Amino acid sequence: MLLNACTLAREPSNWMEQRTALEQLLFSQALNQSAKHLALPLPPGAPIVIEAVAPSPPTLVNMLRETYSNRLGALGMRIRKDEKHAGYLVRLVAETLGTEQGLNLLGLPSMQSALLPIASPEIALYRNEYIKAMVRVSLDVYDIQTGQHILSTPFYEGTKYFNQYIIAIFLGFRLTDADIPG
Amino acid sequence: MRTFQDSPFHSLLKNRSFRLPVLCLTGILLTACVAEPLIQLELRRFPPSMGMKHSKTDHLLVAVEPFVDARLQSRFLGQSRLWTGQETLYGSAGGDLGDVIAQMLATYLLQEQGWQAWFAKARVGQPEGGPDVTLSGKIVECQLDVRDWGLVWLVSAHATLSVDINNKSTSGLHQPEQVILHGTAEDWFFRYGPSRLGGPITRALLQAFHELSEKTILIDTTIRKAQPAMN
Repeated sequence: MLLNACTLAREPSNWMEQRTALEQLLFSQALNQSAKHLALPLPPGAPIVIEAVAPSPPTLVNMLRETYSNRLGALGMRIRKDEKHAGYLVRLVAETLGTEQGLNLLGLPSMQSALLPIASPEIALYRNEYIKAMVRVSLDVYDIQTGQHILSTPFYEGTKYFNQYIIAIFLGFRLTDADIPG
Repeated sequence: MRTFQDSPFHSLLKNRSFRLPVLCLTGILLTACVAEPLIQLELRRFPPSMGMKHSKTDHLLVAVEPFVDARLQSRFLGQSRLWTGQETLYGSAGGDLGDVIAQMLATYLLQEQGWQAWFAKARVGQPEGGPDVTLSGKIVECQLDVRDWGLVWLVSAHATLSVDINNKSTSGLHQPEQVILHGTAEDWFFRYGPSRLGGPITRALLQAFHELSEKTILIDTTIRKAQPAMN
């Protein structure tokens, strides 16, 4: 019965719902990690305008743009709001931008009885609930006046994970590479 | 006349305990006969150990112009051939190899030397007064040799760059100084990961870039060719 109840589930995050605080934290840290080693060989002080495209909801795309704007500003670029006053268009292209979560359970999931108004609790011999944030971004640079492609960077990547384990019903612990407050 | 029924392969297949391993091995060998005609290798990905270094010379402005591709066989980085005769050609992702290498050199100087280096394909946004030093040059050799050892490939990469150093403060007085940079790297790969072949050639190029700092010295805002030591 225990083996029959083993489940292997992989649930994508629901874009329509609000993310949990933990997901937000993992995503932010993965994004910062990806931008950490960014190097863009453009003239120092070059006026740039930044665009971001990603198969993700607008809030995450905005966050991507703001994080990379901050980093490029720190590298000496001058960030402009519109193309009239900029020399280069920097387009951030994200291959992936978001979090995913999943559950591996060896044991008996909690069940609601059909006859009696009681629910049996989950009996987990091994339970692993994981959340992983992934960011993979490359930058394409164009000369705004001529539209000429100047350069493309390799991918900059960032990942953060949070795994919560339960072994032998009671023994619980967690592993993470994120900096979690509290 | 011998038929398939007479062959040792057929007797192996008849033996139940051999059937699965033989079929698996055949599957692997057949898959190994399939070659992609062209693979674009990503050269611009630097090793993760490479970090930002702060240098006392971070005021030096260096423009790196696109390199001229002077290789004899300039379309591809290399090729591999399967025992069936099928060939795979390897090219460079990210466009023209001269642009890719100049971009890599600018990024290397920016990150490793701490100089204000940029890829000068366009002249937009250059600092007033222009760069202190302009680097240009040509790709003499950038090649990948693949030796097939069955399921394993032994890959060696060679890069030779000729770099012209044009200092603003001495331009007009002296000819640009020229340095020749070499880099080599070797690695082996399981043949099912050909896209990773970009690794050795990236390392060969980085070794060549590293020679630039060994063969030159920095005097104020100029890069001068180092004189060989006299014994």
